[in-house]
Amino acid sequence: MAGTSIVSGLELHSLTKNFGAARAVRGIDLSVAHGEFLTVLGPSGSGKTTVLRMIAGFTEITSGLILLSGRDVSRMTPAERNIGMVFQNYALFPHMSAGDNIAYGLKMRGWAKPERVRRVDEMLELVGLAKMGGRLPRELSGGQQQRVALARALAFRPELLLMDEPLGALDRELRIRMAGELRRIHAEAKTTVVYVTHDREEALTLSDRIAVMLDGRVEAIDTPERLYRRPSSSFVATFFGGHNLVAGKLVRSVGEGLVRVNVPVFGTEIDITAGGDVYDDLAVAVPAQAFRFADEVKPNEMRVTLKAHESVYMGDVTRIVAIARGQGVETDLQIEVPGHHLGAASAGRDLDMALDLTRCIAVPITARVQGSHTAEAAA
Amino acid sequence: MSTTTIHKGSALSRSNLVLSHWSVRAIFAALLVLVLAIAVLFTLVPAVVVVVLSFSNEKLMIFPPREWGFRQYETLADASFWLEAVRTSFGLAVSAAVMTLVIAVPAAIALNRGQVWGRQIITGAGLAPLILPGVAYAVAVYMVFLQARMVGSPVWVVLVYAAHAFPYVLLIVGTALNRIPKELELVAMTLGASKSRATMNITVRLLVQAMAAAFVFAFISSFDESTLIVFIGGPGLVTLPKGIFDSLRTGMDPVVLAISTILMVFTGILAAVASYWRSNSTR
Amino acid sequence: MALESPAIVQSHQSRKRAWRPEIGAVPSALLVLPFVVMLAVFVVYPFVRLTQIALFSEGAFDYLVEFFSDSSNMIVLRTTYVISAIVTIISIVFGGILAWTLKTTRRSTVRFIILASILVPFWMGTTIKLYAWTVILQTNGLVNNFLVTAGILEDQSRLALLYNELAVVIGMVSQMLPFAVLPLMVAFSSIDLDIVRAAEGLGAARLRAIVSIVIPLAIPGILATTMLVFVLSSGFFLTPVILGGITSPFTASLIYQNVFTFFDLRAAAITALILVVSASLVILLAFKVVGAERIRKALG
Repeated sequence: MAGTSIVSGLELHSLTKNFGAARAVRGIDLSVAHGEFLTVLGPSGSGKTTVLRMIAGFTEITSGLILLSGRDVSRMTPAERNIGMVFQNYALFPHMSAGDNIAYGLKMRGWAKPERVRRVDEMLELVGLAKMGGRLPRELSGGQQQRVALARALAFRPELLLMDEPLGALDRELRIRMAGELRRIHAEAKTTVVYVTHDREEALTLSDRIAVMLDGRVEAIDTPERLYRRPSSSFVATFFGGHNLVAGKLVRSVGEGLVRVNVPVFGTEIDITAGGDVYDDLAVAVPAQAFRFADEVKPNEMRVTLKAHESVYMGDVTRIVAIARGQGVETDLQIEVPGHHLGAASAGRDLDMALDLTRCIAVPITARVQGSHTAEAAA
Repeated sequence: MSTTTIHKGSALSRSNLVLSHWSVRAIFAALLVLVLAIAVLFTLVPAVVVVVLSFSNEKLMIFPPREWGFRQYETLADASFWLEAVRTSFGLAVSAAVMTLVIAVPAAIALNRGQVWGRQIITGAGLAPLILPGVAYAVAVYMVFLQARMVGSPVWVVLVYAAHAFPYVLLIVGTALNRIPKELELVAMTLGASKSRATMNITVRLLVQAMAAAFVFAFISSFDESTLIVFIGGPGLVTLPKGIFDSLRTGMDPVVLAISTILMVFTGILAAVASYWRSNSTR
Repeated sequence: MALESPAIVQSHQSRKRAWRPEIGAVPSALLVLPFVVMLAVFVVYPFVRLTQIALFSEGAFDYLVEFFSDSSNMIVLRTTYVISAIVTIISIVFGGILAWTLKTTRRSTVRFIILASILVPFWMGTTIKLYAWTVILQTNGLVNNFLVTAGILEDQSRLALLYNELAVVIGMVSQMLPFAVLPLMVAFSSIDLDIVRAAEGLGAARLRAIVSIVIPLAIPGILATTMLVFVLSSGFFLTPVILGGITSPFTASLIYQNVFTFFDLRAAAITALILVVSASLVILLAFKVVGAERIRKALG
């Protein structure tokens, strides 16, 4: 073991969970570096919560391995794993003060009283609740309760912090503020974090890397930026990137990671980057921001003529729903252009636009697995 | 309603409408008062009669009493028959309530949090004593007591009373358990507590008030129980309700009123405390 | 050694087993066991025994025929169910009005009186209540003495208020009315008062508003309460025996006489079984109509 240079904070090896016949998690391999903030993002029923519960030790694993700093914790009790946990409903002990909540883990781990008191003060300070330690949970606001839950989970210096949609119960404004707080606290505490959410924006603002889950599998794992710029599948492109999808057919590979794709709705063939292993039928991920109003096109751009369907002014951008037509195919496109363009894009008008081909990615079409949605419900 | 009438209607129709509106209201109010009066008559008058007449100084039940005073309360101090009955009732009720908690609380926890085969059937059977016709249940239990030759056995009466009070635990503790998030124990375990320690520190600790409330309800129901005891108590085991039942058939001893008044105050306080605990237990 | 090796393998396997957070099947069973044993002995077995004595003892069939051809027994059963139904209707109607007033009234005195009339009866034992009603209703009791003193009645023509069906109804209602109010309050709690006020604002008369909006919303709770009150009423024992008298035509009195005067346990068992069956049918109907959760709520 001494020879091993880097041991990951958390490693999952073919982690699997079956609930009866339903397969909730289908063999996940994942490695999280020490101090990394990894978000597991997925729609409900994707198995993300089951993964989290298996790591925490709340759910028995069907097969696979969970390694924490190289130590096999797969069959340990939650108490033996040394993992901190924050739930969406905070799960504060209602009969204990904020301070006692934070001290509980220290007490269970046999810390002496003076050190306990010092650590509790330190944690209250860290989450910005100094002098609030005497309050009962019901005397605290939602945001304050969440901070106490976080302080409690971090107080005993766990090797890993798990968070299950911790901001889900807060209103939007508070959510944004708490996300900032979380980044700061993570930076100070330097704990490895696995954070589960279905909220794309949370994932974007918080994470070092994001694992996108679907149907009990990890569909993609990468930095937020790369997932956004080079989605590896049609699901990642839409669920994470919010990109448009346009049906296409592979013509051939043209080298340097580029492929030639026939796009019927544009009525032409284009050379674009491939985001994954693409075969015959594929999808082209087209970001809403890849369009601009233009009479002439630059090198890497393509002229497209669309019909505006409706448009909304959002303050800094105009959001347009437009229809692309070609070779008997029709596709709705979401378009975002800077500035005010309600006049130019009023319903029914033709839009002459330039599409930036460098931002379009050819992705394989995600095959959905039948019956996975029921798996988590059954759990 | 009346303001729109004033704006729209002529003077004549306006006054008519206002009048009819008022008369409807008056009839409604009068009806309400009547209903309230009848309800109070049905429910409160017995209590008032008991309390007021307990201050009669008559040796027999005479109404209206010619003299008022504390004679019944003074007699009570030497009324060994009644004091013994109260003591018997108290002993049975405390034993039964303790037993109910000891047996039904673990069951309620397992039914709520564990994997129990036949959960619905067990819960249904547990609630049966509260739902089924009391006299039928009493006869059924009596048959078993006859068969086992246990009529008049205090131990067996306690066992039946305990089973009879199961519904209170299932309802009160069960509801409280439903309101305690399962995550609390899970979080306690990640913080280093063993499963049993987490259960004791968190769930059981949070159930304390619900258990106290269930205890009081079980105690009161056993203390006041008057149907089963007539059958299974036999002639030997005289609880307070049994004693009052016998006295109602043989001749009415006004000392009963003094005991009843004291017990009403006592029960009232207990019930108030228990209700507070119950509502508090789920916060 | 040959004997030991399987044990070693087993212990190794059990250590490999993952730990579970739920209470497992075996510990759950152990926790429930005393409870189940108690239920089996003191709830399930008594009814089995009752059925056995009523239906499967020697000569049971002939006895059943005799029991059911005795017209006085039939009168007793009919009276019990009719009185139970009357008590149920009165309790639900008055209880409903009390519960509704409690929800809507802003007057603290009204609230206080209603709450007192619900709570105080719970502090009195059944026998004490019956004692009080006896004092009130008997020939030289409160009502008669008042009427004589006021000159409305001659001393010789005192009313026989006790030992009749009216006395039983009064006694039963005074016990079931507070019992009915609590679940009705629960049933009403889901009703948004703003909806009622909106209906009033729309011009619907107050009564019609209540009938058309409140009743449908509260109906499952009302039905559950109704069935519960009916079942419990049919099982009243002391009230018919004391206020109606031992010879009154009620199942309770019939059972009392059969057990304590005639020592005819089989007749008592048959009567009790009829009550159990009818109650089970009503409860089953309630299950079908409003569901188990409503019934559980009605219990408190």
